[in-house]
Amino acid sequence: MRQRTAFSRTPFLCRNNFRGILLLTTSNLFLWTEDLSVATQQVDEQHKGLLDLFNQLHASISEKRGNDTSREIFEALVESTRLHFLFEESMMRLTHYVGYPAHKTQHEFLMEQICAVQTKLDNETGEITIDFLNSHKIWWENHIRGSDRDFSVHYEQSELNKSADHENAIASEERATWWKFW
Amino acid sequence: MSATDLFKWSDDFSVNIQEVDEQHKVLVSLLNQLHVAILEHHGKATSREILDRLAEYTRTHFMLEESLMRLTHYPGFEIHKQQHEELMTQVQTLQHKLDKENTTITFELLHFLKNWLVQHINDSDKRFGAHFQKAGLGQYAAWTKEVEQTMKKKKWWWKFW
Ligand SMILES: [Fe+2]
Ligand SMILES: [Fe+2]
Ligand SMILES: [Fe+2]
Repeated sequence: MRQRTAFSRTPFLCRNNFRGILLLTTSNLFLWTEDLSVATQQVDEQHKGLLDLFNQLHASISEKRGNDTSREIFEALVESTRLHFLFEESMMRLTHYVGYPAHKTQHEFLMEQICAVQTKLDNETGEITIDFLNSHKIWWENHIRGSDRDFSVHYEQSELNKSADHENAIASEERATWWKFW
Repeated sequence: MSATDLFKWSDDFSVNIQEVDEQHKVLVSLLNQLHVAILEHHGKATSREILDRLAEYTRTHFMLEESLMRLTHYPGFEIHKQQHEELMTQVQTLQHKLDKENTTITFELLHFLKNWLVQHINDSDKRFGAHFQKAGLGQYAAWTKEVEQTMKKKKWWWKFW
């Protein structure tokens, strides 16, 4: 059985926007750029949060801060990825998106990769490698620019979006805290 | 469904948004799993795993509901969100207690969770369901056939973990 981590309830991550960590390292960062933006602001915010966690993990591993620290960040990344995928898939089912089955398959692919790493970490037969991080990063870049953008086009034309012309009114502090429970 | 179910789902609980109903069913099923684990003494670790899963899935569920409320300018949004937050705080307190103190998950707690869910669905979620219809989104009340098939064909991947 996978060891549970107390990370989800550690206070230092709550309402933290990780910006400080972004400034610490300069190489291999997964930076947010406008071309990654999709139609829903909420999804954008989730993606940004994931990139931040990814960068933290990358920093922790390249600076060899120790297995426990890296593992905790990794678990937070896994949880937020799962939460994000579940959310996206919900919106797809709800708005009758025809690309849903294929998109779901892509999400499953990444989750399987992640679970494989988790198993290795549990059995102490492997670690989080820079190679894994690099392929993880490439997956996200392609996925957001491709599949997530495709869904975004569909979403923009949906009745749900039409009824929601001021989604932009989400308060900024609320936008930054979608992962606040962890 | 078995005789030991704590919570039997029925269509009376429907809020008329299939996506939300299906998520409620998942919550009900996790609650029932937790109940069985405690009834049959599956051990602390097992029941804790289920509780954590329940907490995580609840978070996802609340996120979807709140997001839909925001998108549809639901007037009851703030109050509803507060109800969600209060439950999450209670669950977190419980998780913390289970970590630090020598407490276990009791039937009393299970009944609390069950009653919370029943009441919340019947009052608050149904009220939002009615708003969703009024907002002209009735076409999204049910899944499409394709979605239905996809969900039947494959287990939900999050169940693997
Ligand atoms: Fe996606
Ligand atoms: Fe609900
Ligand atoms: Fe609710």
